[in-house]
Amino acid sequence: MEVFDLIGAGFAGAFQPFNFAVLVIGLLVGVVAGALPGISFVNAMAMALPFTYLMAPTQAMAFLGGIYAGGVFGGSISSILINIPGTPASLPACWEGYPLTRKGQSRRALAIAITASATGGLVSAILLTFAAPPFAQFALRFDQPEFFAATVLGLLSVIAIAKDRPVISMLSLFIGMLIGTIGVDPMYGLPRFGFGVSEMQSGINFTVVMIGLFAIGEVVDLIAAKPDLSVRREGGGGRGLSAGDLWRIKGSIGRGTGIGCMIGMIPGAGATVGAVIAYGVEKQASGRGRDFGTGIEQGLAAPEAAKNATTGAALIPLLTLGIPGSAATAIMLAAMMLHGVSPGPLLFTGSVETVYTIFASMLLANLLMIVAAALVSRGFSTLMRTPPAILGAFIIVLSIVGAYGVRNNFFDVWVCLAFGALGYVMKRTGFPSAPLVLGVILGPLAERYFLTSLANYDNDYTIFVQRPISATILGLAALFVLWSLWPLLRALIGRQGKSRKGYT
Amino acid sequence: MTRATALLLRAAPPALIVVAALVLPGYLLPNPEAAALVGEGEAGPTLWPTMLLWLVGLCAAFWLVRVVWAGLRAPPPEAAPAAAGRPVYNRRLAWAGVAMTFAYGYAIEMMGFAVATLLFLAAWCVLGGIRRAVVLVPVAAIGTVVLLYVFVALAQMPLDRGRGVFTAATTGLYQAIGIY
Repeated sequence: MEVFDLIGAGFAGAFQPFNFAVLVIGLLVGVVAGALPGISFVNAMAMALPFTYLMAPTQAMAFLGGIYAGGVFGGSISSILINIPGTPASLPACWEGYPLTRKGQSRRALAIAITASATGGLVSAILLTFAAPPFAQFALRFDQPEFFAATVLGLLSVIAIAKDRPVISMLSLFIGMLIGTIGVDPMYGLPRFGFGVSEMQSGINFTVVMIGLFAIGEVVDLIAAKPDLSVRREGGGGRGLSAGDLWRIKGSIGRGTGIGCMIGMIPGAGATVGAVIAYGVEKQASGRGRDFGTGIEQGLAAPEAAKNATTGAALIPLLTLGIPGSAATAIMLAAMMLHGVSPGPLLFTGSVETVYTIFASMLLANLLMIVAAALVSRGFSTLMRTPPAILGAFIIVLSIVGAYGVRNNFFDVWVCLAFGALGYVMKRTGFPSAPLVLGVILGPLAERYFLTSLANYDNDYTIFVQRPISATILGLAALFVLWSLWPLLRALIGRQGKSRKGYT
Repeated sequence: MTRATALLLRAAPPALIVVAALVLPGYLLPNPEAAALVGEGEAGPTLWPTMLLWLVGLCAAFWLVRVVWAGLRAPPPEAAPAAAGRPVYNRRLAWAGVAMTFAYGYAIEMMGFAVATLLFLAAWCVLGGIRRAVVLVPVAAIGTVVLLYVFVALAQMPLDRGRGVFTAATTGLYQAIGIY
């Protein structure tokens, strides 16, 4: 009963006029940013960060949560209407949504996408509300070795998810972790990798790295690509979605939601992985796998539900352990830290009202998303008339102000610009940037937990495998790495076997 | 492009990373004697970055070996077919864009946020193919004023006012649009 009282208090907080207003604004900003090709909701969240300085912590989280929930869906609008995914997670919407548009059923495709996304997001927010508190209770047993193990799991799962190129992903992750070591070390206060530049002592802020990589790199790519953004609406958009139609795709939405909730909790996975896995599973489960790619409604519904189902689930490790699993949740972590709020198990005992207001805001965001998405979808043609050059110019200005605003330090602007150039190169060469970002975020956390564990346990390096919870989490991390490297190892073993056979 | 040039270009990034991983330990601490402060058996400030440099070096070396191995076994490269129907990607424009962002960063320090932003908004639009003054001028002028209101008046961020005459110009602009 106490839980429901807390949820009630959370809703009362979320319905406060200013809180509600920032949530709605966040949602609209998120849907618009997600819908604009080349501008992801992560860019929008990064650029929105300076605006949160004016807000209370719960308002800041509601604002960013709104952008997050709205932005994850927003990418599907451009996927369905112009065959350009607004975000990588919306790629399956291109495969099944755009063929529906070409058949003259854009309205129906958008209705399926909005309904499935809202359902996935809502279930995920409910999961967050009811699963996070007991998980936080469990996490109270964690000491430094357990936090270190959980951070390592987060770091290594990034590699496991990039199964096709594990070595390159590992390299990107380790480079990110190395960038995270720049500045004063957490135990002895000695500056590292200073290169004689005094500003380097304060380290490289991960928000600045993210803004550079994701916002500036993307905009520069957008100006050179000049994509065709004209909207086709053959056949007037077709009929909408009836309750009967919805009932027919309930299985797809259910499967997608389940997959999204599970994937969302894994640090490093996120909406893209959730959507692609859900699409693959639906191809097998729907019985219409051969027709996929021609505008199959189940193939649209499942990944749409999955990608929004990752949003609430991704907040579980962030709020309970203080470990962000994605760029979006990392920005939310940055916002919390800027407001002096430290996420982790103690947040659930010290600031219960804040936590439940965040939960209520996420629940509301996914409900209101239906209205916001429908509005933006209608105005999408007008939105697409804005030249990409104008959008890009403002994004760069907002990015630079955002980078400066993190610490009111101009050195951060130069760091952001350097990472912008690097982000562009990485995008063009296909070098993964997500592991690098997670390395910059989680690397310093891992080092701090590692060193404090050793300091607290007499410099005993075996402490991480002596403690049962820590050992289990590290075992899981080892399994993740083996799983990711298995195709590579199998190929090597197979090649050796073949060459031996050739000799005999 | 010859086979050797293509291989060299593909092998350069991992090779550079390997070299960096070998060289960077020398730049880890500005005062290496400071590491002597660490007690015996304790994990010092160099342990974590050194371990990461090793891991970076190993991964890059593995990548390098794979690139070289694949390059030596691959057939000679053929001329790429013309990408019919695909939108043209202008790499020079992208690099001009990168250069312009750096110029904007420099201009903010020299001219201040207001003047630099006004010029940057207009310049970026020109780079993006917008040439009409009726679009350029309002976008740059109104855009700058809105940004100033949001960040200077509302968020009260201490944005740069530039040096010399630009400080006076920025202050004058703030007074003219009612921020001060």
